[in-house]
Amino acid sequence: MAMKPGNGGGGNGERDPRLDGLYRDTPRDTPSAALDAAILAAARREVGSRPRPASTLRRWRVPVSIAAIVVLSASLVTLIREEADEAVLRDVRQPTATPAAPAAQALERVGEPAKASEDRKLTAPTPEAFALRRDEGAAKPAQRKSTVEREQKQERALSGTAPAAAPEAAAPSAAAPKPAAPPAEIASGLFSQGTESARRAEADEAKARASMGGVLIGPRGLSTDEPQAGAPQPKPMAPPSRGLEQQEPLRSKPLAEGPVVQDRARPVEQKKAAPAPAWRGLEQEPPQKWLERLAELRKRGLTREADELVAEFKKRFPDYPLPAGTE
Amino acid sequence: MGWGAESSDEELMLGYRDGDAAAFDVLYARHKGGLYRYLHRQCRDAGAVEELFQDVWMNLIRARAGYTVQAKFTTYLYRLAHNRLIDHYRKNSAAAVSSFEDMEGEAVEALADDRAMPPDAAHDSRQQALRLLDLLAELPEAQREAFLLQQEGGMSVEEIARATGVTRETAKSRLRYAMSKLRRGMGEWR
Repeated sequence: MAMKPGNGGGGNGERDPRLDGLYRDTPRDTPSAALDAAILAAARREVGSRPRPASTLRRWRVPVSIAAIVVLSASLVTLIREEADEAVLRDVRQPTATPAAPAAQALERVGEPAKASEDRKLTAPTPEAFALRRDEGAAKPAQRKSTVEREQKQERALSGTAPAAAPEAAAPSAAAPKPAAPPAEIASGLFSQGTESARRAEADEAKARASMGGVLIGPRGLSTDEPQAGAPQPKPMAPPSRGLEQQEPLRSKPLAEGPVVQDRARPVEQKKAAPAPAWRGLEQEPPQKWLERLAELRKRGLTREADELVAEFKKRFPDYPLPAGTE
Repeated sequence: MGWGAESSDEELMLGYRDGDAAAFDVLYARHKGGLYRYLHRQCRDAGAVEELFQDVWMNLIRARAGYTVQAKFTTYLYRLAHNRLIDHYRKNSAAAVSSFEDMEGEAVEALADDRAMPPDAAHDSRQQALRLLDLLAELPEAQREAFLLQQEGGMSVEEIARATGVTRETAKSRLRYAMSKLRRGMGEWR
């Protein structure tokens, strides 16, 4: 126990009992009650503030904040990715349910390119965009542009207009990755005079690719969406300078000759071209245009396409009489 | 935990450090008078004394988290008081500061043996006490401090040396000078 003040105990023979006694008789001054209260209150405040737990909290504040930021950021990124994937899958499922819809949608996009590009920005990506998404992100806009251009060319090929009307479409974009196959091949795939079963098989295959959302199996085997090191670069798109009749010999150039990796861009084109009906581009046209197209198809011997066109014509113009010999 | 007369100063201070305000209450009650008188007799300005007194306790309160038992609590407390007092002297009295430097390392000289001061019952003890206070006030600050630390803090020479930051010999010298002068003064007064 501590020695009480004034009780002596200094020891060392340095104490004088008489002086100690005299000093004890001196007035015992003490601090005022107000001063006592102020000091005791300050002591209680200090204990009440509990500096130790506070310092513990302070020590962990920064690491906990950093951890929270990291977790939130990771969650946000994951959520955004999942939502994007879901949107793509939704978009992929839609054209699968109605097989004829993608081509019609593509035609509508061709009619309204500006609007279509806006839609692509605002809404979920299309199956083709899904396939393209797995490629380098920087090439996406250019790829979409080239895809639309190819669709336009196919439409022109169907309607028999001169493909030279859009020369800019033929020029390969410097920024866009080079597509694997020229549109002439696609056109030849569509309008070849080969067997009906071959065409049907190709069309089915393209549909299947579209529904698979990017995991594409080309006619020559499995192809992956990921770029393969050492794979040859796809050739630039050739200008569609030939008519349909001139493209016929190209059909004899089987795609099987090309390297398998070139299928990366090809299936996108095929899956868009395959379901295109014969009446493509005529939605807004009067019946006379339909009949002209019908006559042309008959003339070329494209019976199936002609029949399709007649069926659609009857749906759209049920009261319009079909000329004799066209049916 | 209940604190009482059996609790040492160090236990009380450790209790307060760990958050028990009741321990501080006991500690304060135990030492407030001695510390106040120590300050009051070193610095007779009543206003300054209250300020110094409050500052010393506030310093103790603020330093509670880092308190460890390295010496007697009274040594710790009066060390705080001494430092605060020196600051006060530096601002207000250069002479007082020099008093703490004069006897540094000075050998204890032979003092007249005035221990034979006989008790005088004829004089009123109260008057003698007041005379002692007058004599005390006439002492140099350093000697007075040594005497007050002995009387109010109950300190030994070693503890006085530690509290005031001087060697044991210096503390002893200051204390002996103080006592000698007080005895002599009381004998003459008698």
